[in-house]
Amino acid sequence: MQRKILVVEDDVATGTYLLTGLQKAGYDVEWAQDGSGGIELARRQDFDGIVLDRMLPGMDGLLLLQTIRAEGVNTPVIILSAIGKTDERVRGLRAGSDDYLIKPFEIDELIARLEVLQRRQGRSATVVTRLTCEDLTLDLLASRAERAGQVLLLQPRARQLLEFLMRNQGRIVTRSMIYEKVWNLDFDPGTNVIDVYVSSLRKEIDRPGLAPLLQTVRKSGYVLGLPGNVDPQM
Amino acid sequence: MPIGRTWPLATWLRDRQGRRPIWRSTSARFLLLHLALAVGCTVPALLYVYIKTDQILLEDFQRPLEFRQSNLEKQYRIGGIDKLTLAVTSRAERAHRDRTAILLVDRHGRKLAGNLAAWPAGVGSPQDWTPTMLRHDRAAKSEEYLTLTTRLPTGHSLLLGGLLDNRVDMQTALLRGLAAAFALAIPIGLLGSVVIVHEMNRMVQAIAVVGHQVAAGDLARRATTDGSGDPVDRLRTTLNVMLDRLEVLVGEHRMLTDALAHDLRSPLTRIHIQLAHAQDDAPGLDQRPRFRAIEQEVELVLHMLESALEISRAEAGIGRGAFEAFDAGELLRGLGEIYQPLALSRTVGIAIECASGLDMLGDRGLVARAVANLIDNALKYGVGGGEILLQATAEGDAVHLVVADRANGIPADRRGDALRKFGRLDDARSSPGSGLGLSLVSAVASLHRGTFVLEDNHPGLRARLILPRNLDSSHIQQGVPS
Repeated sequence: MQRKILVVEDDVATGTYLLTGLQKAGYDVEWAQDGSGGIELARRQDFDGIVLDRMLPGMDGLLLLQTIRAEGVNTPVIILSAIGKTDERVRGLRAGSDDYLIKPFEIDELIARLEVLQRRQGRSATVVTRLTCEDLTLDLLASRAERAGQVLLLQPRARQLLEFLMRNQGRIVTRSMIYEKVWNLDFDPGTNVIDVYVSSLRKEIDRPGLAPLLQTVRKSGYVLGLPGNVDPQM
Repeated sequence: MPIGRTWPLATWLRDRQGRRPIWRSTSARFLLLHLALAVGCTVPALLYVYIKTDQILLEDFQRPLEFRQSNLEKQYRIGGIDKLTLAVTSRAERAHRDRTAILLVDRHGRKLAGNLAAWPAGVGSPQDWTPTMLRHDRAAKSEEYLTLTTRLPTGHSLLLGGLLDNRVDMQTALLRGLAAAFALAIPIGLLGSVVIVHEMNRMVQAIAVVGHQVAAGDLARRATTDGSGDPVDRLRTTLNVMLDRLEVLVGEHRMLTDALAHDLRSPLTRIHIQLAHAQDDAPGLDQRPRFRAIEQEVELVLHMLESALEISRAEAGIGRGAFEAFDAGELLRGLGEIYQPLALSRTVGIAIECASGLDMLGDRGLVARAVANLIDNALKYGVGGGEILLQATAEGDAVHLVVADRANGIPADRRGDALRKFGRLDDARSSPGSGLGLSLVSAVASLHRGTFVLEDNHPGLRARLILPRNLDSSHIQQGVPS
């Protein structure tokens, strides 16, 4: 079934960019150009995600979000904002958003984040102690990773990276998502640290003779899974 | 100054460590002034009591003497100088009983009758009631008498005095009583002064607490007014008016920066999007470097805009309401790990020395950006001199985050330039950067009420970011607009 996304964005160029990019990724998109239109559409609750601009004519994006959350709408929301300040991010999360993306952004980054949110939304509340991707396993309690029965030697940070990739297997995770989740940084420091860790992780996971699991998606990020099992929408 | 429910005077005394001498403080001057006024009012009052009591005492002495004087004058009117001489002689004979000094002399000063040997030197005639030292015939020494002298129409002079034998004793007792009252007035006045200064400090402290809370980011905090209209109430009202204005200005500043961010970033975002579309349209291979160059320039402008806005907001104190607890040591270790591969690619090592348990309250994201800027600078300008040191230590109530390199450093007289916005030093102009990196670090320090200093690392540069740990609960999110 085609997934539906509501875009609330007043800027025509950005709205068009979102509409085109999301439709190209296979989403059914509805676009509201102001806050009141956005609220009306959001109340229908038949969307899989909402992409909400922070500053809208007539109504602040945060107020819109607070309003729909107060009415019980729990659709995942990503705020798009020109303001990258940490306290603004905190304000957005306090108002009920699930993620926060700073303009300008790559459409692939937005799609990757939407995918992660939807995956999180559909996941059961049970605590996972073991992650599996093909013949790769990660025991979270024992902090032990194995591929095809062989124990992988991983540094703590590499293990965190692997856990993040395994939790989102089959979907692209972008560099900024990795910085956020693995290093707890809300900005890109512009170093090659992710490449270094991905490279060392790849050496351990994809040993000679095994099918490669860790894929690099050019200009977007990384995805864990056999090439045939990667989400076609990506 | 820490805010809490402590005894204000004790707080004041504790906070005096390392400040101006206590006697030059406002409280001490106020206390001394009040004490001086209390003593200054007591002394005239005591003097008045003394003088008035002495006056009453003399009047009591004077009354029987006036009666005797009246009798003598009556004798003179009846029988002239002869009758008066007899009366004076009679009075002199009885003088030892009522302690009277009496003398009648002729116009040449020769004694006619009385119990004094001669007219006392320096005593005029006539003269109103005056205490005078006299020695009568039977006395061994001079004593004080209340004396009246009269010149008679015949040229004779009459002196009549009563011994003031109790006056000295009464004066001594009175002086002792008054001295005791004065001695008591000093501690009572001092106690009153302390109570008043304490009350004054309590009121000022309450106003200072409001100022402190507002400075910590709680812009909605106001002083409580009582409507009395007295100077302290007017001060509170004026402070509240000022804070109202401040809140409006900060709100306007926030709106302005938000609008600026939105209005400038939106066209830049559109350029970015158009670039993405243009690149998707598969330009010729020879055009791609140009597209990439434009993209990099747009990214640089966006980065500069972001930094300028961060600095502006941090300098305005916006964001203190979103402070969270985090471990500064863990933050520095993480950043060291992130920059390690880049450092290795430039053949320089990064050494990390972090104390454990460096919890602090602050904007983790901004502190991370600030330290990342310092490491980035060290990797740009500090390579070639050896290892880069990242150090996190606790010093008193503050965390010191240090990034030190062993390269050429910055001369002491140029360090101020390096901290100015867009203040790039000459040798940094050829390398990419916004010129806002160190300004941002400075603004982050200011947001956290800390300091940022550039020091000589002998050789090299040591950048030290000093941030108060702010673990006092009064700094935790206090209703800053969110």
